[in-house]
Amino acid sequence: MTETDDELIGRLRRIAQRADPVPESLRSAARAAFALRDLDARVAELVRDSAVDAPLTAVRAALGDTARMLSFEAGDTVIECEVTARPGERDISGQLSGGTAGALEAEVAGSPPVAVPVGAHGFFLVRGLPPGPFRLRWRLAGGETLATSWTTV
Amino acid sequence: MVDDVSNSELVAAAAAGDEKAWAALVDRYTSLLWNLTRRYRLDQADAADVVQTTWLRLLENLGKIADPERLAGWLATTASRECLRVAKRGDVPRAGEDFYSIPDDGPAPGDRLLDDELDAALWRALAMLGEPCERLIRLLISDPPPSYAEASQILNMKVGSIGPTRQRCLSRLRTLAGLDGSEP
Repeated sequence: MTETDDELIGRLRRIAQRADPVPESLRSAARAAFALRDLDARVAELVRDSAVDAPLTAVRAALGDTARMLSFEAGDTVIECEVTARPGERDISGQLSGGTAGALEAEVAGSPPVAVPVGAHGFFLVRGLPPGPFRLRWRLAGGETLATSWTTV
Repeated sequence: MVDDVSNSELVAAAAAGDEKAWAALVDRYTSLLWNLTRRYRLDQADAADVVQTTWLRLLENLGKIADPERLAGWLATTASRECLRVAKRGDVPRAGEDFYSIPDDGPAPGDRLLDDELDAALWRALAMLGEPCERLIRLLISDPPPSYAEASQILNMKVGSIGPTRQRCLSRLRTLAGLDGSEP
């Protein structure tokens, strides 16, 4: 007795649910993400990512340089980040420009935000973040908040 | 029934702060995003991060989705781009993972969990199908599955081609799994 196409699709669906189910923690995290909705912040879009955009990626990889460069922009405001990956941890350094100084925090979805000190010329460094969806929130002196678009680091 | 509510209504309600509408969108598309993401052979934690990032991107764009009836395509495109970023970022593995054990064209994730030989053969065959077959079949076995209109947006294929392509892909899958008695 051969299966119809519909029966085969149903069988494959049951196989997938056993062999490679959606992790329940992912479903609950995706539902809970609604709490991270940020109505006040203006989004700084990811405009460059060395992982996919830079022609020198292959050269840098060959040199063993694992840092990844991300650039976010909102109007004249630019946030440059360099992500260094270690097993289970991410260090992110960078520079804020085009905005007046204010409080900066780094956030990985599922973990509490971390306050990040900002030094002279807008340089910052945060060490030991867990891997995952990441953003920076930058409260400008004028009261406006910028948030970088969520990016997996 | 939430199932009957259109994406336009759910997106509008979620944008207005309705958490249940958001949960309904998550329930409608998380399986689809997971299945699509698994094609990129990322490890399970990276795949989960990509899907979560995709949801967070939707969250930051809730008020700007131009055509909510094309939401499945928007989500799939966002997730695919993020998969490529994660696959190409060239970083070190997570703690406890062996860099050299990252599978290439090896067995699909979960292969060892299937004791039924035929089920295991089908699961392996799915990973060998090639495109557009693998993506189409992974889409169609999502729970809930997308409509053919949504599948056509995601695969950039005419709606009228989905049925015939499905038939051709399943026939190839049967051959690869040794189900039709012929050599693959």
